[in-house]
Amino acid sequence: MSKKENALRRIIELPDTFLARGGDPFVIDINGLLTQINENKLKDQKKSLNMESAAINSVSKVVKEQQDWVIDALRGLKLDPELLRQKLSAMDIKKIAQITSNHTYPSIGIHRLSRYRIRVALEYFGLVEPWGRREGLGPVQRPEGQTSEFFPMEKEIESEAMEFYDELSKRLKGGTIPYEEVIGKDIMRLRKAFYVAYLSSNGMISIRRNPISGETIIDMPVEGEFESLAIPLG
Amino acid sequence: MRVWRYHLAEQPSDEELKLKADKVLKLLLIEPSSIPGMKGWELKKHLGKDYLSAIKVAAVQAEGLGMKIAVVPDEDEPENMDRARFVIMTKEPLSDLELSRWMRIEEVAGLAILISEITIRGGAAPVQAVERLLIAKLPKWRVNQIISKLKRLGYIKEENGLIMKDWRSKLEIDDTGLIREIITSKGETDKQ
Repeated sequence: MSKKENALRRIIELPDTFLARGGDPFVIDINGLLTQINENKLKDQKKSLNMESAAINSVSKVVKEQQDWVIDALRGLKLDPELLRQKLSAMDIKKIAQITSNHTYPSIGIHRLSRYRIRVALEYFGLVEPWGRREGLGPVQRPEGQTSEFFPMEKEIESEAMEFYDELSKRLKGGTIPYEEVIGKDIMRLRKAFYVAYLSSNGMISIRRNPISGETIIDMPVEGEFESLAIPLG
Repeated sequence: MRVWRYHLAEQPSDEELKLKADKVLKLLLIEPSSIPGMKGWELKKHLGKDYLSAIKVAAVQAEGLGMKIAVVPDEDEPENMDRARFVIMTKEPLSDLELSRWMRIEEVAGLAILISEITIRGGAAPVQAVERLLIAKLPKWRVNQIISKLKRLGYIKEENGLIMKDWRSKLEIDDTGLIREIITSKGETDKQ
């Protein structure tokens, strides 16, 4: 018997010799066996095909043994695989996510992206040539007068926003104010939210989020960390 | 005449060790990439050869803040600490879904479905099989996005057409507890 034939024969007999004696099916390297089958093709094609198919059959027996072992283990934990699949298929995704978070111990890390990096990224974005026939975005930085053309704004609303700012800046001298308190709950809520967005985009106020409480607060713009940055695009 | 000088390796003082431990916490907390934590060799570069002693002190400091430092061994060289990844994680489970902002609800649910199927199948599930399961719950176009995001974040990996748990699932998710709660939960099923 040739070496190659011998190797295939060993794989064919594996389930009887190893598993029948109660060996641990996970000790067997399935990928390794498949590689061996591929590497030990015989010159006699007919014989090779017979032996290869018998060897693959043996490998499938080992895989089946591994699968049965897992199912037994799950049943040992009083977990039925089919029941688990049924439960998941019937469950709402929010419920599944909630259960997952009950058993998640997340790794912690702080992601930071400085204003400087955002500015650099946007400047680069403005320089990148578009694909195909599309027109480029043009320069990111524009003269002040030109920028206003791209921000259509009724004069009336703008003056209202400035009135709102005068009042807000007085209140902000006493310290930060929660966003919800600023926009209120009355009929003017949406309009005030727009003023806040407009003033913030012009760098006149800062909007911050408290990472611990999740509360959004409004502050006067300060140099450095929380300074609002208006970047006109397009 | 040639004079040979022998230097005994100096142990860092308590003060030095404390300063290095502070640095360990800073380095582990501020993520340089989308993958949390740092490799042993990176910490060694910042802290010197005795970085493992500094990590032990940092672990005690983290304990007081409700956190712990976990070690993720390298798959090829599990004994080599230089190749292991060191990660800061919470001591208690997340519980509040609102806090899991690095993933969307359907991504968390997708991960649970994948982990369950991988466990049922003994550690690896064919890609097509898990895709079928996810498509039953989520739009098809989202399924591929979710799978690639989970791969990118280190929760799952794909080898030879099989999906397996990656280091982050093994580290962050108590799969036995997860499966038990799914099996024993009641109500709030899909209304489809």
